[in-house]
Amino acid sequence: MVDANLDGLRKTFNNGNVVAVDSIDLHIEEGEFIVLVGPSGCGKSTTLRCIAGLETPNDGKIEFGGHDVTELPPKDRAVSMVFQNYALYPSMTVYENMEFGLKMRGADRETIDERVRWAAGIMEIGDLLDRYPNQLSGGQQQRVALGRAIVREPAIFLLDEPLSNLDAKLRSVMRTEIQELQRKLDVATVFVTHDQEEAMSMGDRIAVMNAGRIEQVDPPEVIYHEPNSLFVADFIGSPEINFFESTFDGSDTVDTGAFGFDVPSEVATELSSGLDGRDLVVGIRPEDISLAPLGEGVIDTEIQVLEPMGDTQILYFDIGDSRIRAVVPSAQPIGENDKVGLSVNWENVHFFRPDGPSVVKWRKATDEGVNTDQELRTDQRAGNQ
Amino acid sequence: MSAIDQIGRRREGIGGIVDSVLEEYGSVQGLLFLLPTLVLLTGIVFYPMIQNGLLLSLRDYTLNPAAPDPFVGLANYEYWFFGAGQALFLFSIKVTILYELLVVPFDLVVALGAALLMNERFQLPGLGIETRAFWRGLMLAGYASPAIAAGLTWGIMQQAAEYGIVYQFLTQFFDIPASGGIVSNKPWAFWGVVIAKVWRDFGFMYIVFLAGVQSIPSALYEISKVDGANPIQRFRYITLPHLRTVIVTVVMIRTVFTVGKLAIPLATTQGGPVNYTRVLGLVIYDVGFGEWALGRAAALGMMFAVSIIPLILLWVKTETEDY
Repeated sequence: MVDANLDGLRKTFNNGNVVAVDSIDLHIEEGEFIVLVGPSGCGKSTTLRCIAGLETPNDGKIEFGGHDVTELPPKDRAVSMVFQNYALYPSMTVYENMEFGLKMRGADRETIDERVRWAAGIMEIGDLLDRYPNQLSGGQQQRVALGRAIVREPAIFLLDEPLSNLDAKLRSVMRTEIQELQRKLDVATVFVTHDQEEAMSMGDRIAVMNAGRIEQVDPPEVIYHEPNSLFVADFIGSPEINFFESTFDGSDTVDTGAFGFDVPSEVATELSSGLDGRDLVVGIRPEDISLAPLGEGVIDTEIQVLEPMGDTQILYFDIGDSRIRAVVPSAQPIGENDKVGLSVNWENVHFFRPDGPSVVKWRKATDEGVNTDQELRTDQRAGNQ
Repeated sequence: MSAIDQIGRRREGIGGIVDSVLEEYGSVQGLLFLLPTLVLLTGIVFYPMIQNGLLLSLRDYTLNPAAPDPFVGLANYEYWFFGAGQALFLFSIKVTILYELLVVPFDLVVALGAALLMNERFQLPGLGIETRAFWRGLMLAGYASPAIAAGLTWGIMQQAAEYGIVYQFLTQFFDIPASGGIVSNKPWAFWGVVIAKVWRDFGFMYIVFLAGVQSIPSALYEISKVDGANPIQRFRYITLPHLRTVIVTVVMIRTVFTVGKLAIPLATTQGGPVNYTRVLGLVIYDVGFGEWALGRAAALGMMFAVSIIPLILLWVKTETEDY
């Protein structure tokens, strides 16, 4: 069991014209499950490939358990990897696929057989060992790919969007299985995905990447409740957070154009010191907007679209130029085109500088020191009711 | 599994050709639609096959258009089997088989090597991604050139002269007699023809292999690197299994299409020294258009045609089988 450390990692392509990964610092603890998440082209796969040794970084250092492996070829790194399309060797049976890594390393027959059967047992593919990959379903191929990866007892386990080719139901099953597997093996794991929901549900910590850089590395709850930039707030959370381009008058009022509100002095202080000018972006999560009787909320508006989700429903409103989302319990008897008032759970409102970084969260300013995850959750639930 | 089923079904069908033909085309009406093609094929394939092949092989052909070309029965066949032509006949069969056994595997190795090389991403100056198309295209130069021109050029390059650069190069490693160079001395002449032939032909296999290796998902190579396979093992466990089907196919195609070709031996060595590189196709050509003994040439051609039928059947079988 080892930890891994990335230090100032930089990788460019096309003679430096394309910067895929730019000065990434990341420490992966022993046994930690870390998820790299971000939109397409943000450099998350390149980062993973650098860790695997499939790409050599132009700059920076990669260490496994304190040893510098930056220049080592993949085979000497004791990593194992699962690709999105599984990359099973088509000409080999499941057994041969799984033994390949050990065979290439010159392990003896008995060890190989023992390890393959052990891994096949864990992945429950013992009865598929004689089949060829093209005789397997997508889910079975996935299990074989995972089995092949664990056979060698890797120091680091790398997964590159391994669930993207599965259908929704199987994906959620495999999600849980991979988590359990990782806990059982207790090996440092890097999981790459573009799916924020997958990231939220799986990672011990999440590294949100954007344009080759890591925007924030934190546990899922922190990423969600305390995003440190516009990008993170926007990328994490479904439905997406609502943004209002607003102005701050310098003393105690924020004006979003559609409505204005007063902020407590603690928040005002933070805003005054954190903002360059008067422009700011107010971020309100859909679940922090609730319905109020007409005239009693911050604004009255009309429900444009209503999406029933079962226990909740997503409402869409047009306020100013932007479309606003709210998540409310489905018990509320409302329909499209109804006029309603909206109220906001102000404590969970985020304030960002227009160029990205977070300035302050309302509660953080007013409530220093009591924002443990548990409390946040309880409060949030209370706010929804 | 499905391949075996298909073959089984096809075998059953051979019993009732008429039935299966009618089943395939629906009715006599359907067959009528085939008539134009049949007429055309009769004119350009079946008629010449009968008239200039089978019937000609039974005549004693003379150049004089006024003189009759009498039927001589199987005399032309007898000439090759038991008569004066026997020695050349047997020798040329031996040469042809040897030629085939060397050219096709050489062709395969050179083409595979070229395809793998051209598939690499070199970082060297002049060999990078910008010039890739040029090098890939250059590999096809041989296949694009006329066989006669290629053969003549190779023949010249293999002569023991200042301009004979192939001779000049090889003579540093081998003791090749200066009188006559490669093209006029045993056993060098044979190798000279083989080299010229492989150079002229490997482009075909090369382009097929290049397409083949390009269709291998790069993730397979990457995971095998993580698994610890070295380049030779990657070739052995990924590239080769992936190319197996195309290798079988192109080897069959090449075997069938090399056996009757005579342009390269004709242009490079003219079959010499004496008959040393006289492959069967060249014998037919020489007897027919050199000695104007068209009856004898036709007899040889008929035997040749019959003897490659098994090869063609084998080829068709590999084409229809799925691996």
